[in-house]
Amino acid sequence: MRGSFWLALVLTAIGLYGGLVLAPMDYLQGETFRIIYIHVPAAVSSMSIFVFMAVQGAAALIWRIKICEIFVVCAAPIGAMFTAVTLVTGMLWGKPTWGTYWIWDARLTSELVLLFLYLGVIALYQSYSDLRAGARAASVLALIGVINVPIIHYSVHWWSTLHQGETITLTDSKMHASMLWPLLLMFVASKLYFLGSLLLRARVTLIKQESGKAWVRQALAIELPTAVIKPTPSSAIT
Amino acid sequence: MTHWQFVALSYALLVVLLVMDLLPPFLALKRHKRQLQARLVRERAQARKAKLDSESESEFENGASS
Repeated sequence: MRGSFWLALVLTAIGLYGGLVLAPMDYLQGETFRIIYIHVPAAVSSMSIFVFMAVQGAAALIWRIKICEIFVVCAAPIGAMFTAVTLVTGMLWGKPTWGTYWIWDARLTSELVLLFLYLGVIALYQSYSDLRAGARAASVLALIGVINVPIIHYSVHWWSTLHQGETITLTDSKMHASMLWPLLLMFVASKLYFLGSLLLRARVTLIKQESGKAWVRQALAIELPTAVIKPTPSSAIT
Repeated sequence: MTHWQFVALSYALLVVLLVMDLLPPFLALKRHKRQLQARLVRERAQARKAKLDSESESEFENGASS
């Protein structure tokens, strides 16, 4: 968990140095293109996290795997954060580039719907007093809501949108290498951040749910300071 | 606003959102661990005390019988 955070931090530092200092200015967008180093990885993460939630949700509903339920509910706030970052940075990029912060464009609107879906999953889970029933309900919503992900992805092809199409695909890139490598580092950093944050949240949820179980107490006993854990000799007490 | 100000605002908002995302679970983890460890220490102390009490009782009984 800590390793992924540190690695994400190092990669972010290198990626930001490359994106903000080393990469040349874009001849059309000027300096504002540098927002893409957070906007694009956040946008990709916002969609991939929802797909992750749907997969975990399916596993939780079919096989009743407890950890999958926990992953669904723990991934939702992180996905919501990435979606909020995508929307906010997109607006700040849109103003100098398009002349407006917001337009009811298919890509922007479907991304906003994704934020509402994330908030819906969180609210649904919170509304149940039985945590496992809440997690299963959230899994159902994640499975239904995942239909929005291909809509976001293909919206620029299906409709005439202000938002441009893909600059990078799995096989091709329209970006110059000097601008591309920091973006790729930021992609990896965002995934590592997600992993670290997910494990942190899952740990909190597990400790909360399973606090009475022997294995949690055993795990925490290992973490206790040695002075506390060491049995005191009876002669020393008497 | 200049282009750099838009960039700076974007990165500042990213930092705010990351802190908002990370801080609550981090603090919750610390709190839960502290609570559980305190309970564990308390239970151990009680168990040790109970053991000592039973030992001293048996010693007393042995002494009385001899």
